[in-house]
Amino acid sequence: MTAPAIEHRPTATAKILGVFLAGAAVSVLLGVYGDTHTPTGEQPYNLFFTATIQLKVWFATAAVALALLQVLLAMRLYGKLNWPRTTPSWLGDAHRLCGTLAFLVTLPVAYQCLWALGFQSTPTRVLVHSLAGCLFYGAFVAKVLSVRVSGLPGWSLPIVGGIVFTALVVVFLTSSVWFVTDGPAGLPIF
Amino acid sequence: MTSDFTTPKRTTFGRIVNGIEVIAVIAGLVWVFMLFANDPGTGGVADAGKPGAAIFASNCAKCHGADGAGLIGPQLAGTVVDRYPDVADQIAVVTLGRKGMPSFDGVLSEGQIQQVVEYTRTGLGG
Repeated sequence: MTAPAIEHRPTATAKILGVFLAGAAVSVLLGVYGDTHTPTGEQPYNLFFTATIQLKVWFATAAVALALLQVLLAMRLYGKLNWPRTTPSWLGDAHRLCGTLAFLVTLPVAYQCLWALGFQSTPTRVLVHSLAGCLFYGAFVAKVLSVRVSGLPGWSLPIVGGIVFTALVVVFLTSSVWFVTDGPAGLPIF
Repeated sequence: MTSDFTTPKRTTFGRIVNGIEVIAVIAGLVWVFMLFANDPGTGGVADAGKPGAAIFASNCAKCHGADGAGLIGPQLAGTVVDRYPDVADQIAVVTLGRKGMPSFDGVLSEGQIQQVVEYTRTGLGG
């Protein structure tokens, strides 16, 4: 006679802990890479911009605009906004698209940051920018996992999504906004 | 409350978004690969033998680029002489700072500032 098999399913707490640990690991790894990698000080690409910094400012702006739109769509999906009155069937897909495109446009920006500049701790603006940049990708991974892993508490996705958005806005404020308002080169017109 | 925004019935738009998500995953993996695989380049300072080159490498290159082509800070190579025909004006900017440019007063000596300024005007192809 064999004992009945006991199925051990991870609890919601274990799942959310796993999601947060995965995100934290990504953030830490990016920070370690940025700190240990010798910055090249090069401009790896400009695309159709006059310099990499112009590309970064505009791409970061596009990422924040897309992320803002994604937050608005999420608020409608969660019923926090009542417009449009009926939820179109494509709203969820539009939400996913905005987030995916926002992530894609951050990649060339973050690549140049990590590869050419690295993690810097001075001045304070740059330290905050470096930390928020690492946090953004960790939180992004946690958010994607939160969507994919079933059985998580309902509060987890809005919290993680909020962290992703906040980190991106901090990155934007300490780079693009700083560059335009207080940077050495003024408004980057392509 | 569900944590999944995907619609149960997959539309053409939904399939397109799925495809873009796959592209994003691949792009993310390529991004990580490039961070480690891409040659870091020479990273060297142009005309490293000239006086001021080492000062430039440790204090200026992280914003203006190792070759002075510009990064966060503007391009210096080939432009500073036109921008500052009078060398004293450039020395003043380095010493006192200006907008995003930090002040190097107290960080570099007067002689070092003169050396690095001279280097940006000649060693970088001023």
